Amino acid sequence: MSYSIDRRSFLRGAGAAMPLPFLNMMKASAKSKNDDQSPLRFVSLFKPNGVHPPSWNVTGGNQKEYRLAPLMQPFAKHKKDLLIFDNMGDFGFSAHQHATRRFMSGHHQNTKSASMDQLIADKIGKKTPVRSLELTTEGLFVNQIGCSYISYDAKGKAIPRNSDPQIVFDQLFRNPMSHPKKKAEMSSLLDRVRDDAKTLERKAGHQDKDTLDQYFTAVRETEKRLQNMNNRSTSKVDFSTLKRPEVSGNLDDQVETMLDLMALALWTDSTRCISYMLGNSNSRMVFDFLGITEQHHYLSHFFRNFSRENIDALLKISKWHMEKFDSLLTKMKSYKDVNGQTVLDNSIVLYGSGMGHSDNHTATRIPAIIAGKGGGLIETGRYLRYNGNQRLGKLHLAILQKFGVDVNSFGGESQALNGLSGERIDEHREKAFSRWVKVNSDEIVVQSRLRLSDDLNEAKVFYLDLPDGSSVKLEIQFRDFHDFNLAYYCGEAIKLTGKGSNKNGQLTITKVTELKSLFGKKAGSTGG
Amino acid sequence: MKKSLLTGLLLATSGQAKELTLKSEVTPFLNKYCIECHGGKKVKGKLDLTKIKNQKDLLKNYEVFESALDLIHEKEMPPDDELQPSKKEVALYENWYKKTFIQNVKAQAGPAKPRRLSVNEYKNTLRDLLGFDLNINFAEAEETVMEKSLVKKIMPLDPPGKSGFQNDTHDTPLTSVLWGKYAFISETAVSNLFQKKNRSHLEKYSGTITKNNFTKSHAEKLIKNFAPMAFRRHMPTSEIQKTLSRIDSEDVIESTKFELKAMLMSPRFLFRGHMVKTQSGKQQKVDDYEIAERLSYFIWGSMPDKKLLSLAYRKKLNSPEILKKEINRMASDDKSKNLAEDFAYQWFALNEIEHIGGRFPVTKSMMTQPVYFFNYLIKENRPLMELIDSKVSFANPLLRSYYDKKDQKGIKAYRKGKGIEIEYVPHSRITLENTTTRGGILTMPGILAMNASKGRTSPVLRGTWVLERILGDHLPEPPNDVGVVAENKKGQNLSFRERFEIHKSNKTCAVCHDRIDPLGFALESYDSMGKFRSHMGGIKNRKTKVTSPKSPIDASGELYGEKFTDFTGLKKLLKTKHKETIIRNIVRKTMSYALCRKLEVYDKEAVEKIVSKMIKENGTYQDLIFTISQSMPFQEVYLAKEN
Repeated sequence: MSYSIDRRSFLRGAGAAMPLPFLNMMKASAKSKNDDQSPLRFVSLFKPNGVHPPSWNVTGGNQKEYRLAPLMQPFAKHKKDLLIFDNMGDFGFSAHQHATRRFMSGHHQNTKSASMDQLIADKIGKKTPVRSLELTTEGLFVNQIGCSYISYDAKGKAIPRNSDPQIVFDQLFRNPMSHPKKKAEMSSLLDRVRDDAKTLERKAGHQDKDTLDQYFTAVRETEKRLQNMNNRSTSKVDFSTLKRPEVSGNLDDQVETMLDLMALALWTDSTRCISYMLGNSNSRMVFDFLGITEQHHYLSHFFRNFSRENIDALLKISKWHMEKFDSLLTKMKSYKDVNGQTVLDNSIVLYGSGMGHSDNHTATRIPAIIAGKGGGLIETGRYLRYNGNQRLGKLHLAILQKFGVDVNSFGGESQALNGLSGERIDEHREKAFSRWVKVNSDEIVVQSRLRLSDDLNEAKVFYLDLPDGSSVKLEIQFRDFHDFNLAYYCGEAIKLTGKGSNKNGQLTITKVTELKSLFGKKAGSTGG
Repeated sequence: MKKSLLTGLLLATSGQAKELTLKSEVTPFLNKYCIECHGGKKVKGKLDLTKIKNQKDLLKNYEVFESALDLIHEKEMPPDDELQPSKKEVALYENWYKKTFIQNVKAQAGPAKPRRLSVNEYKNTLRDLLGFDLNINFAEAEETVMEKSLVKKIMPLDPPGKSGFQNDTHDTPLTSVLWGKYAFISETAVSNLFQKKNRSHLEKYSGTITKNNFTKSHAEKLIKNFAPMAFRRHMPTSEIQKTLSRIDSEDVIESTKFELKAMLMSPRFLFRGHMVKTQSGKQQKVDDYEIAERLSYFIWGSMPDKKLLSLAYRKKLNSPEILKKEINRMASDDKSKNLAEDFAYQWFALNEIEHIGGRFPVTKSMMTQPVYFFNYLIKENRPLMELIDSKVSFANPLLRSYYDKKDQKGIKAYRKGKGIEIEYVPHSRITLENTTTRGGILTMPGILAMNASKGRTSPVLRGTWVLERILGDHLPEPPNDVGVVAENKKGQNLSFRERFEIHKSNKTCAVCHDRIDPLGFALESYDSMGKFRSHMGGIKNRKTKVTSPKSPIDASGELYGEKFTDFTGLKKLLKTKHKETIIRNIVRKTMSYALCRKLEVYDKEAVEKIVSKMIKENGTYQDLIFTISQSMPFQEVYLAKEN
């Protein structure tokens, strides 16, 4: 994409744009004087509106050996840095605003206390110029206000979010309290306005002097704060070399710029705790830059608004969400910390949603991934499928404890989730079954686990993998897809009979005649 | 605890009320009839007369004695069950009042006291100075809203000043916290002015910039043109030169930016009224620039534009003809919607509509409806009393059902887009030919619905609102120990109004409720969401399957001895018998907003002059603005002698 260079050029180099990583600045950071211990950071990235399960759910495998689901392909290159959770969830269905609250508050009824990021910020945010950042992409969804917030203060009140990269940049890097050049400028500004006010004072009557006195006091106090800041400036990076981002052209531009800023803020230790919403839950955003004309929320109800085009559009949007997660991780990896590891290595990034199935709003199999080793606290490169629903509160509690937050329970959970550091977990056990295929002229019978194609551009294509490493391909008409509700059986062990042939060595079924789930129920018999 | 109990006991047993220290011919009257409840044994209605110790205190609290005059006159005070003054004694009070607060008070201009721009003024001033809104970027989506203004997002809300309006910032000083916020906004403002997309706005000051080359001569032109706009007055060449001498040829852009930031942080930009030239102990006319500023912040909530400043430079604004023309020009400009969005919004407490609950787009429609209406009154120069009664209203499809089918035709048709549940759309102007139950601000759905509680109408809240906001009365806080209206006991079948009559039979309560209730109960023909109704009750409870008794609405009443049968009757009374009171309130509220301060006893003469002129000439809103701008408090300023 052509904008990628422009967007990255917000660092002002000698004439030309300087792409990531900014090696010269890394050196500056490496010179940090007395502490060579890298700080631990927390980042959360919220994906709105759940997922389309056939494309998200991991189909089988174990902790170390597993196949990433189709939607995970965009960030497949980070597989070693990921800890993928499965069977996170709760009982029943979830309204959008509940799903949004659940994402970082453990449970949707946890409405009177802080979300986990804020507890972490209380713990680790004191040493940085900015305690924490609460970011988002879009405005408030006022018809259901809870859809717009994931971060809540100690009283459970929603924390205002920032969406404008320019403003966030100004707060982080133009702040006179953290920016040496801006500090100098502020000092001369204070001198200047004091002169100006003094000229006025000479002309002013005594009632006028009262307001000028207030003005002088404010100026004096600001000066004092600046001087105090001199003694505890934390960053060794010269912020004046950073160029303010341009106004974002479209959503993608805006998000990429924000992700750049997040990585930079973490690396410069301007802040250690960030929450970012890729969109409101129930988002009415139209992803026109992806060539989509329908609202995201409408498309996310992929079953009730079912059409091939709608599914394709939804998957495009979901894929975009995944690409942004990839972007964040890539950017965080591009910065070296003082201990020689990357910023990602010293962070815990929580990525996911607050609901599972985006059409029927089930609160089961909620997407949840931790990225980053958390300075050695997290054993990544694994897929953890727990036995039975694990409430998000347990995961949140486990993360809180990694940060040393002194809590015994969170969101109604007093048992932290096992497994983050490699402890034994109660794993989901699958019933054993054999995989085979029988070909009888044009009739093919196959027994295996059904999965969606890894390539989302051909999301109507399915595969059934065989023990010898080959697989049977399902390339059928919409009619069959619809009649047999094929997507529903994704991840399940099935026995499927159909018509087909061997096309250049690839067994391909083009018409389904019979489909039977080995262990599960019939399509439509479990809520949605 | 023990100590206070003991003193309380002593006071009670001694049976002796405190006496006033005030030395005045009215002191015996106050001691005899008022002190027992207002500063003696009790302090009712937050009024403690013992705190009024001398002539100065008296004048400061002139409103107390003004409402006392009304209350004594209407025989509402002292309460019925207390000792009543004789006619002679009443006359004594009246004479004293006239002497003290009218005859002996010299009309005087307000003090020369600079004040910080309110957040609203600051936001608008930046917009008009820069040429663009200082907005936040975000991805826009249907049914999704965001505070777009950077200023509004960052600055804390101004608390209302003594005048009740937020532009009365006299008591909210600049602090270092605010200073930091101003600095942040100035930084962003200047950065954005130099952005490519705002090139045309920059060039308005600097002249055309070719090939991205911002030269020293651009910088000079920019500063010469920018400074007088930012400071809202002509700048002497010497001062401009001083600024220009600071431009660094090596780094023209950065040093120019710095100068602009310094201007935006200067007290001359952030405050109003610093440049008013005054002499201690003297009252004098303010200069033309100050008039231009007073006018533009009054009507636009923003800085004067080029035209106004050039008239001020040529000293033309003291001509009434030119001033009148300018006011008409300003009122016709879109920026005059400030009077609706800021002034009327606060006057009518429209923020209360936000608390109605329910779906946001509906609430928003209810909230913007009176804003549209007030904007119409200003822009189309309607007579003052049309606030109370008008054939014109505004509605969007979400408020359709409040209006008669034939009148609904004026509402612009609208089709929801795909996937949209409910959304706000602008109002259309409608004519109320067939909707007999509406017209004027009192019967607007939002006004009716905001004065309700827990799904039930609140005659008290509605009555209080009309009394305070429309008739300009001041009510004390209700006592804490009155409790709530009792529910029907078993076998009892009293209407809410009947039970309420029992509830307020207490004589002390009656003092205020006799004024509040007729107004509130007349509006009972409108339910808690402001829908018209002829009956109440008759609703089946889903659980118990019991239908509540249905009873016709009794909206009749009596206001100061005049009977009426329903709200239409009451409205007629308001438009005739209470016209003067309503116009006085409109004048006072508008004047207070224009002067950004509470009206004092020395403003009374000016107010009364305007009131009689408005009544005599059936004045319009622009007439009112003009008359205020011609008045002494608007034109002059007074600087007290230094102690």
